[in-house]
Amino acid sequence: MSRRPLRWVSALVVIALLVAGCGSPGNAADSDEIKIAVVGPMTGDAAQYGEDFTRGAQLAAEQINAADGVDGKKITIVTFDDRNDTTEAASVAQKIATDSSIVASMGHFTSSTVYAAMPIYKSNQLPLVVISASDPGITEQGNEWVFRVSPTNNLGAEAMADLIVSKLGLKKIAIFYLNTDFGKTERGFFTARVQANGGEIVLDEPYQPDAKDFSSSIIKLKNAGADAVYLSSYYNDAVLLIRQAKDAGVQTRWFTSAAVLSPQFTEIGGEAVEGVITNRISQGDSWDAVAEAYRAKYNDEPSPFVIYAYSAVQAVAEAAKNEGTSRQAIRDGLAKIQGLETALGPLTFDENRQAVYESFDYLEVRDGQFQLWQP
Amino acid sequence: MAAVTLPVLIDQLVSGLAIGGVYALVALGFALIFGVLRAAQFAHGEVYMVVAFLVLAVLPWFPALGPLQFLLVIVTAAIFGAIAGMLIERGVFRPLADAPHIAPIISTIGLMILLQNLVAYLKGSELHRFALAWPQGNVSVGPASVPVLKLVIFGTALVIPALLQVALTRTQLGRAIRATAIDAETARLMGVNTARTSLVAFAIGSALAGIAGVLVGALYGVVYSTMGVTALVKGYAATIIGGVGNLVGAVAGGLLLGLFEVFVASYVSPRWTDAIVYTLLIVLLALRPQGLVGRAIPEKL
Repeated sequence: MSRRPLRWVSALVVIALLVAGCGSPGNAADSDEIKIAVVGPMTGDAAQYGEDFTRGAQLAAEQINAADGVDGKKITIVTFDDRNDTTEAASVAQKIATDSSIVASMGHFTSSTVYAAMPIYKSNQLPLVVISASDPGITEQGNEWVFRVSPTNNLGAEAMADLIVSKLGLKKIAIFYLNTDFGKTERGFFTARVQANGGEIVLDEPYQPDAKDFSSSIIKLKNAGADAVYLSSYYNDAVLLIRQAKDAGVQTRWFTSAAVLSPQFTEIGGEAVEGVITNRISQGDSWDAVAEAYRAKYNDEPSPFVIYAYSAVQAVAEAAKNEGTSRQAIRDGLAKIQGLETALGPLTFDENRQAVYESFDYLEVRDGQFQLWQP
Repeated sequence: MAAVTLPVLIDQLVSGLAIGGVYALVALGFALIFGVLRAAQFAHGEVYMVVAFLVLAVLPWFPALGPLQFLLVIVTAAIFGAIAGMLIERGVFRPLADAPHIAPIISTIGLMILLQNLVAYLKGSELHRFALAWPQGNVSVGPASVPVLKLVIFGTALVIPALLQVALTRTQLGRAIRATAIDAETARLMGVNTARTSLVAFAIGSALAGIAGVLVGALYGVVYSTMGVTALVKGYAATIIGGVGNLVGAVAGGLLLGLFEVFVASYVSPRWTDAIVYTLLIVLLALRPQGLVGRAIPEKL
């Protein structure tokens, strides 16, 4: 095979990449499309989340465009891969921000990648909507270009502390937590709120990620006099702990982090996990309709990340409709959103541009399934 | 943390002896195989795991007969374990009998990885529920109330090694196994069928692993594809504590390890259990390479 054609092809590819990379200059506000970047892990072992982001955003764009778009302007989704890597997140953010045809960005999966990318959005004055990263600090830094539609990880734990101590009047609390960043952070929020509510932590017990035998911890629990137990755990540890404690004759009430929400929890837990209570953010009225459309299109069950991405597009569309389609206009429009009906329910950003989540659904395991529960 | 009272201490003691009993059975099987074949069986933990999964698969067919059902489960586990052990001896050890010592070690490591992945592929790597209808509930021991299951596990872990000890000292085959363990070459010259003794040793050692597998499944309430790794590490540690190749030492080492883990988790923190246990193991190896129980027998490694 001759080398020549290959060289020509290479040259064309390079030119194409350069053109694509630079993007069309200026005039985004006059364009007949609203281009939104979706960025996240599109390759690698977290690629599922990137796919959820893309699908949720695409679905929202299609439905909005089918209803004549935003005053006739169509929403276009372009995806970018940050490989869930902080260095890559910063350079991809730079690439997105310098493409002036893009008027809003959404995504970066983890808090670390969001932190790496945030300053770049700010210095390039491009609004970013965070749709999964849960560190509360992200929206507490005074970066007025960063919004978040998904909940922070303190909310569920604090809602649970309010439920247990204030609503149910259970004052002596034992907490078991997974000895990782997730478990330790959640434990911190939960403990602080329990104490603020006048409760007392009577047992504060960490466990290692590979723990299977909780005997010694359960003996402590037996003798701690706890009215209630809270678990900052994933489903498998939670199941083992509850089962082994019940086998050992411990009688108390069990509450867990939302992280246990998985069919596996009830499957392995069986009768031992009946009556266990957990929570999740309340699902809006249109959640079911979006989930139905998603199933029809992708033949798959939507994860919460699909819903967050969908809602983020709805928020950007609303901002563009009210304030205009420049980056600045979309930022201002997002900041003014109050009670917008989205797939997540009514969306309101607080003064830190964090979506307000006030209501949680409480779920109880009943007849082998998580079912809505009223305190 | 609540004050240390007698009921709490009894509770901790029983928990330590139950998990220690499981370690003891694993260690005993490991030591028996090591003694006769002079080679570490790194897939020993996988025998324990595979048998637990096999018993889980046949469990629905077991009649609910209370203690009798438990006995049936133990016997089934022993049979599955023995069959697995004989297959491994014939398939993995025997062909390498004349190869350098490292060869069977490498091949059992390969077997370990193969079995783990095979089970993960067939059954998934998640936890599988494992529950026995008996024993359930609690019973009073002095001022404490402890789970019957833990007492039964500890009891099983005492009775089985005792039976084995009788078999090894009072039967012809037992004497042959001990003779092979002391010096295989001389035993063969004295007319012992060492090929058969090594097969039997493998079968018994693996049966013990199988029993340990179902006991731990009942204790935790679950079985999973990587459970053998922990078993191997703990069983190996117990063997070292007791003295490699020393059967009584292996049982004592297992019980000590279990007790030690529970007391460190109770009075230091569960976060530090493994770190402290293995640090002490290194110290022990440095000070008493022959183990706590054993006498120094250099040729046994």
